[in-house]
Amino acid sequence: MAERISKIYQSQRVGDAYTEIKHPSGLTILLYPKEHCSTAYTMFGTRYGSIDNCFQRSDEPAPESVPEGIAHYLEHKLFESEDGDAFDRFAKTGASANAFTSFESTCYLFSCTDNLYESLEILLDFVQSPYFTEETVRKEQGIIGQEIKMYDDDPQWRVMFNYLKAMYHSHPIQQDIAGTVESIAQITPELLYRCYNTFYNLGNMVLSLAGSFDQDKVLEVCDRMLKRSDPVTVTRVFPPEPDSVVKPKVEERLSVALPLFQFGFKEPDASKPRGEKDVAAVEVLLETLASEASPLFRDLLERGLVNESSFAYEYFEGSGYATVIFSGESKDPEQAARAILEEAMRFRKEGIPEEAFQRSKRALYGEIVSSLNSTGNISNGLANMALKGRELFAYIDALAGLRLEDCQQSLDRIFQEERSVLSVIRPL
Amino acid sequence: MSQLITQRLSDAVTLHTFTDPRFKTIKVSVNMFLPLERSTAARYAILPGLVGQVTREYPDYTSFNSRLAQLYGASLASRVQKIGAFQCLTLSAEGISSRYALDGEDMFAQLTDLLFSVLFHPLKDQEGLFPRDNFLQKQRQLLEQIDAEFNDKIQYTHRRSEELLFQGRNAGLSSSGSREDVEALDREEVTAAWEEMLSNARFEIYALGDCAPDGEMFRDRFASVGKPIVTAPLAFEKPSEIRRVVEEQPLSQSKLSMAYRADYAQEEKILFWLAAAVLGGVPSSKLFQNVREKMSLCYYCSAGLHQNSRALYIESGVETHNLERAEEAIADQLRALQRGQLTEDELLSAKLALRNSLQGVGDSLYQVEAWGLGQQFSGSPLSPQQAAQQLMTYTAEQVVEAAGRFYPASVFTLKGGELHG
Repeated sequence: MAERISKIYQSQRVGDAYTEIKHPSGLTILLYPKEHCSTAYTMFGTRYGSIDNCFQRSDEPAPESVPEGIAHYLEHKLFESEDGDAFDRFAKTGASANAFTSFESTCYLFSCTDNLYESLEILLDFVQSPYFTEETVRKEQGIIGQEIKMYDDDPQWRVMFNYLKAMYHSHPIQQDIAGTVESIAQITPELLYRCYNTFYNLGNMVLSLAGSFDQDKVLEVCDRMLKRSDPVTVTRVFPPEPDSVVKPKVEERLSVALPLFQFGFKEPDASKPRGEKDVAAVEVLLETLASEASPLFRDLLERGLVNESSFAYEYFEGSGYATVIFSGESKDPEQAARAILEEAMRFRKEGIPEEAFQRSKRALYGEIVSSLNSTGNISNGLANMALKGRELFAYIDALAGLRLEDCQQSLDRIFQEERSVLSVIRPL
Repeated sequence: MSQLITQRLSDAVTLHTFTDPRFKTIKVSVNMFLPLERSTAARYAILPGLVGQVTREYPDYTSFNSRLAQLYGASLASRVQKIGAFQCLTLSAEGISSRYALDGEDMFAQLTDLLFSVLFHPLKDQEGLFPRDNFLQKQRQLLEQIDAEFNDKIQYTHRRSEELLFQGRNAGLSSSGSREDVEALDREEVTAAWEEMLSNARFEIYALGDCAPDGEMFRDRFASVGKPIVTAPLAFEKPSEIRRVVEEQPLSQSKLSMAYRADYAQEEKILFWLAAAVLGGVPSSKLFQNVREKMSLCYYCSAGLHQNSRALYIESGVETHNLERAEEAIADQLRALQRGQLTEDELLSAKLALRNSLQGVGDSLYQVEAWGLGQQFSGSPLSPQQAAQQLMTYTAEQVVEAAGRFYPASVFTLKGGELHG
């Protein structure tokens, strides 16, 4: 077997270090020691999510398309093998296991306080052992159909997808992660194997582990369990997406007591890759514009347009899409959106206040330091960043080195009224 | 491994410390227990959020939050929760430890100063009342929070189920009070309620993380507050009938919440926690394996024991046409357990899963506090390690016998229409 290639990442700022190992199987392994933690948290993820319904394999002449919701379906089915369910195997070690499918990745994870190496073996084994039959695939349609229905009633979910549908013309980010009852009816064992063999190539995957562990023992399990993958790569294929939005406003009525809204701006030219600094610049900008310390938030509160428990903002970005989003409950979503837009325009005209910018950097630094208490946060963060081609400590350094001009450029580029969307859920 | 150390500062005030430099943060919380009563619930519920939004030094919302941002995004959080038939009001300050402060600030001192400032010198106007604008702001937000419960159907169903289980009694009240009571609040009574609360509550203080709290400093600060009230889990009452309520809403998926009362002595609480887990608290449980996986009757189906209410809730999301079948199937699983259908594998899986969660409590400051608070409330506290030891000793026979002491009390159904086929 070829050599493992190791690299150590260290951060003086947060006083931590971790090791990245390129395993000969193709897998990237990230090991972050937290010596005195009882809980070890492990995540095994692939760069494969709900937006990957059209892809190009390096060994095929043309792209191919698959039904919506197939990545999520595959996640459900992967827990089953010929000998039974992976949950049954974890039950014997006591580990708490789970999995999730997002827009861009599928991750399998467990946390444990005992039997780490046994649980790691189970994780690596079941994710590498697909077993799909006509019967088991058919059976899952009932469960996933119920999951889809549960989300149909969730106003937070509806306000989000209505927003994305109003913003994106053709990018698959607008499709529900679980697909539709109709699309999942088209899923077959053959399609599942095809997607599995394409995206669960170890070169497309990451394993992250945070906690108290013996690195040699972890690598011994990896050497034993990991099956070398063919050198096939996969490229995401998206239809062209214009910078314009589909429509500026969308509304739906649901069984809610108080209206909910989501308002934001579509970032142009979103297919361009974004690095740690790009992300940090937008996050500091949002913090400066709309945090609880901002004049905007006080104005929204004083006018009774938002409340502290629901108002939130985020930079929601990935392959081929990027948008800044403000959300919450509001008796008057139109007025709330207007106030956010006007404050962004004021910032554009008058410039971002230096003092507030510096304060926001400190606040975000504190948040990151705080998040490093938890092995779950660390393992999640490492895996998600690696799957997006980013690195945790580089992000922290980028945040520290950020200049006001970086945020001002992001502000001018992203906050354009003609690319804004307001999604509202109102009571029936 | 650090331990939670408990120090009685007075008959009414206890300080719990859990200090460990492996944490990168500090958390100081002041929890105040008061009996939950219809007449006082709303006016106590508004208090933590109202006093915790400004200080005399930072008298407006923006300057106060700018100060927190300057302190590396520190937070001053407020919370109101219900434990048994008590209201627990919490004010807590949290931030990074001094070790990571770029300008060398003493973060523990800064955080406790802010916290003590809101507790002991809350901002008042010239009339000696909480400022009018702040009061109206918090009242509006509390009303919106009550309304928002309706938006989340899982949370709403649980709330309605709890109300039905403890119909007409204090344990069934919302921790925020009713909408009408919040609407009727006025500034004078709310300002008076703060002083009343400081005199009448029992205080449980937690100082956690990378800090070295000085017990004497806390003793001095909290010398003249509190009342030594005794908190305890709700007494068991055997239900005389099964109450049922069905509420209809235009939803794709219906929700079902079946509530039981549990008859156990305090020293059996871990045994009953285990019985609930075997039934529906872990992926290997009877409800998950049979009702969800084998019968595909619901997307989620789980059982949770509220130890300080002696209540078990089994909650599920079900297609409307399957409501009756799901309810029957859930009841069947409990009956099977009560008849002794419990394998050694099922029992061991539940034990290992619970032990896993107990052994991880010390890794999270939030969990250390939540565990400690629940245990202190019960009057017979166990450490997570003691609970884990006890847990592993129980036999299948003991769990089966315990399951026989879950008594069906009420069923709340949120019935949807078949909107999406």
